[in-house]
Order: sequence, then C-alpha cells, then structure tokens
Amino acid sequence: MQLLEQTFHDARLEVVGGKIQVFTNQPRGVFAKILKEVPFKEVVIRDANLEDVFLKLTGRQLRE
Amino acid sequence: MRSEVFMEAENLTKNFSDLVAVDSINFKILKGECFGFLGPNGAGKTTTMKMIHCFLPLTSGRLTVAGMDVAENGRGIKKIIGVAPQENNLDPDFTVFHNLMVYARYFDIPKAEAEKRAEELLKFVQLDDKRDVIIEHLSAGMKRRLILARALLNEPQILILDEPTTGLDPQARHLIWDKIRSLQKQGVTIVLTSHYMDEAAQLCDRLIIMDYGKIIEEGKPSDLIRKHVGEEV
Repeated sequence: MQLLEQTFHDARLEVVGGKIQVFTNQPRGVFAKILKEVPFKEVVIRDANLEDVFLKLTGRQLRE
Repeated sequence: MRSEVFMEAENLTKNFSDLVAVDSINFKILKGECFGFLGPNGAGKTTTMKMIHCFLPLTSGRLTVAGMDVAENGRGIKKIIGVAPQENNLDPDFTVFHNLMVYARYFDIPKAEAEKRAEELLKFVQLDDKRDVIIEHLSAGMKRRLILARALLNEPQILILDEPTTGLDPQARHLIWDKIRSLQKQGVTIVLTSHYMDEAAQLCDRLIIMDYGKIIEEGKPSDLIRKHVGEEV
C-alpha cells in the first residue's frame, strides 16, 4: 500500500472488497515496475467508468 | 447543432409533508438529446419525472416543457409527452393489443388510427406475435416493451423512461437500448432514470447525478469520468 502511495502520489487509493483500487492517469508502464517489487496476485487495469464517478460522489452507504 | 432548450426547471421543489424530495433543482434539457437522471434510491429522480409529466404538482419553483408551464398547461404537455413508468401498470386482464387500444382513448386517437399505430408499435418492439396474449402471460421483458410501445401511442416529442430496463435480461436490455437510440434518431427527446451506469454512459448525451433531492453533478458521461476519477483504475 505504501509503495502504491509513493508511486502514484497524485492518485486516489481505495480498498474495496479486499482489492486495492488505484485511480490514476499515469501510463500503464508504472504498474510493471510495481509488480517487479511486489508480486500482487491479481492485477487488472481498466478504463475508469461512470460507476466509479457515481460511487465517489454518492458514497457506499445504503439508502432507505 | 441542436441547442434549443426544450425543458427547463428553475428552483424546482417538491415536499411530501416534512420530507423534501426534490430540493430546489435547476436543469435544462435540449431538444433531441437523451438526458439522464441518476442517483441512489430516494434521491428524487422519479418525483422529478412525475412533475415533468404533470402527474405531481410542484411545491415551488418553475418547470416548463416545450415552452408550456406545467402549472398552467398540463393538458398541452400530456399531449406531447410519452411516459413509461417504473412500475408495470398494464391491465392484467386484457390482451396486449387491447391494452394499447384502451390507452389510445386517453388521447382521443380515432379508432382506425389507433389500431394502425398499435400494430406498427407492436412490430417496433417485436411483440406483434403476442398481439392477442393476455398480459399476465407475458415475461417481464415483454411487459417493459409493451409499456414502451404504449408510451409511443400519442407520437410524443418527449419520452420519459423511468428505469426502462430494471430486472431485464441482457437480450431484452439491448433491444430496449436499440429502440431508445432509434427513437432519438427520429428526433424524440429522451429523459430517463437508471441505476445502471453502463446504460446511462451508453445512452445519455448528458446526465445529472442527484442525491438527497439535490443535483450534485452534471455533464457528459465521458467528461464526468475524466473529471472525477481519471482514466484508469
């Protein structure tokens, strides 16, 4: 986690369901560097989507 | 480019006794666009839809649809608006075709014309082979398609879709999406609510995110993603 914070110092990190989510605009190459130092089990890089926006703005608290 | 404002809300507010369901919101919807309302349950989306189609009176503020004030010209607005509500309110004892014919009466569409439109719309939503089936024998997806067809009977300029694909299988969702896109191409202004972010991102030109009765963000889906969460996760 610390390494992620150092590498992506302007990124937002979030732990969800046992996964660390890193929101970033940085090129994918940086991940290769991290993987050399810490062998994460499952790494998925995907485009950000509207659901990320929605959850950031409205939170994860259940309603009603 | 189309940029005519077709619907405008100023300080639109709706209270239910001491609950503020919609809290002084402002928005403009342009002619021909697909505009989305997103938000958690209870955010005020459906209440806003109901005020647009003159089903609920405003508590305060102003709302105009195609230049008509909802407080003054509900009849005029209802003529040019088609509504597909969230809940299934088809008449369960009637056939598919009969449901459309009964609904057409609300708009004083002459019988022959109503029959013609009903046949065409059933083809449009791929229900022509279910024409004489009683509603209770339809699947959830068929009911949603019929509700969409029913909303189109009065050849509306504006179509309100309150959670058009909730509970549907992927096949039925994609069919509904296709129909929404083709209606937009024909020039219909679409206003929809959804809990599915992929649906909103695919269909909506612009959208707002509501929470606790207020608008917390507004824009094009791609711009909102770039602004709030960056490009990659």
